[in-house]
Amino acid sequence: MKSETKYLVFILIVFGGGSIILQSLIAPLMQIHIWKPDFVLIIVLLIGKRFRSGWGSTAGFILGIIQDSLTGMPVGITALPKAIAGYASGKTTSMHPQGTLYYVWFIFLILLHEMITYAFFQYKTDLTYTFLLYSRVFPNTIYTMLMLFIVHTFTRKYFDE
Amino acid sequence: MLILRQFISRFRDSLLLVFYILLSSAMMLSSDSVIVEGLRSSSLLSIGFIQGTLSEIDSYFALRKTNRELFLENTKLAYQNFQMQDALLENLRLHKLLQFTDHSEYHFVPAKIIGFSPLDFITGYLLKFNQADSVKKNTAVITPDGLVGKIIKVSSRYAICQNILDANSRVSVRVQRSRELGILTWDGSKGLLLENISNTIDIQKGDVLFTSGMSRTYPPNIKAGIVIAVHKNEDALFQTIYVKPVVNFNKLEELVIIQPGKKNEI
Repeated sequence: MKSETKYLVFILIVFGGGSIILQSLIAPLMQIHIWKPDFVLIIVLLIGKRFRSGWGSTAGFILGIIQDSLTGMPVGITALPKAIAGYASGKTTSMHPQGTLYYVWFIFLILLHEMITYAFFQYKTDLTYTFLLYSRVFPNTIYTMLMLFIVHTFTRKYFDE
Repeated sequence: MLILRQFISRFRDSLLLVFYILLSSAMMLSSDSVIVEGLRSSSLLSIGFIQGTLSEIDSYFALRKTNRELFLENTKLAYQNFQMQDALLENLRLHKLLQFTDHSEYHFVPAKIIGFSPLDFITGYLLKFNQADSVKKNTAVITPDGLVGKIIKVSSRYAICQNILDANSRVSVRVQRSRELGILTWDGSKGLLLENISNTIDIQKGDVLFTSGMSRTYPPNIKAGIVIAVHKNEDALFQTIYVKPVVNFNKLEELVIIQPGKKNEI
């Protein structure tokens, strides 16, 4: 196994597994009204940034499947948007954005992820997509972005090349 | 063949993404298949084990506080018990007089919350209980305050509980005062809505809702919520009734799962 692949497996187990535990134990304590940050998505975006689009989508798919398995929702409902987000994060890196521009891309990717997730979710509820957009999608995007900034600041040495 | 190989090599990442999208879609469409159920069970077992261990460490450090709270609770309950002994005797005498029989055939399984749903739009808990396989799917979960939700997935000593604030939750309830039947659903925020109540029915603020027993999941007479606001819509067939859950979902730690079919041993 190549050292880069070994490093990816390490990141997936430690940060990926850790993010699922964190999402399940810590995120509910950080809930503001009905908004929570998505730590799993943060890790998927950072993995995509570090290991490029192929591994980004793989990480998104695997972590999404595990996350879905722990709920009553159909398995795959967040694996799909997370795979797309991981892929897009990898593709963004290949465009070499610098500094703030990177975070602007991340905002766009988080928003894309939330929009796809809630597009599926609206079929499981009587709520309209417009209501979900302003009550869930936008606030969750901002909250997750803030957390991404904090997580990235503390884990920079693991995810920056 | 060479062209195909070059194509795959060039678009490997994009093809991988397409494969994941197709696989996710297939999984969503076959959510009850054996493979998906197996995946759920193994994820629940492994994550449940990790979170159960972490939660036990946390419980250890909270033991002193828990002991103090339990002592207070125990004293309060003992006092109430003295007062209720008289009422019980009177109740038994009346039961005998009226020839009532006890139909309560439920087994209560205590469970501990070891984690929350990792998805932000799903409201539920990961539960751990002592006896493996003692809990069945689609059984009610309660606290002394009232209804919490139902079990939607069980794997050995771990289970996923969907609470009544979940978007997919529907509970058949009865208004205590008027005996009217309705459906309790999530209101999109932190409360509930009582649906299917016609404009002609008198519902008032403060009315208490109990489970109706019309479904096989929820036994009858479990307190579920209190009406906090009623809006009659002249143009619509049904009223809009806002309900506050009786359970404080932010403070839950221990729950009880009601299993039908066995005599209550508590």
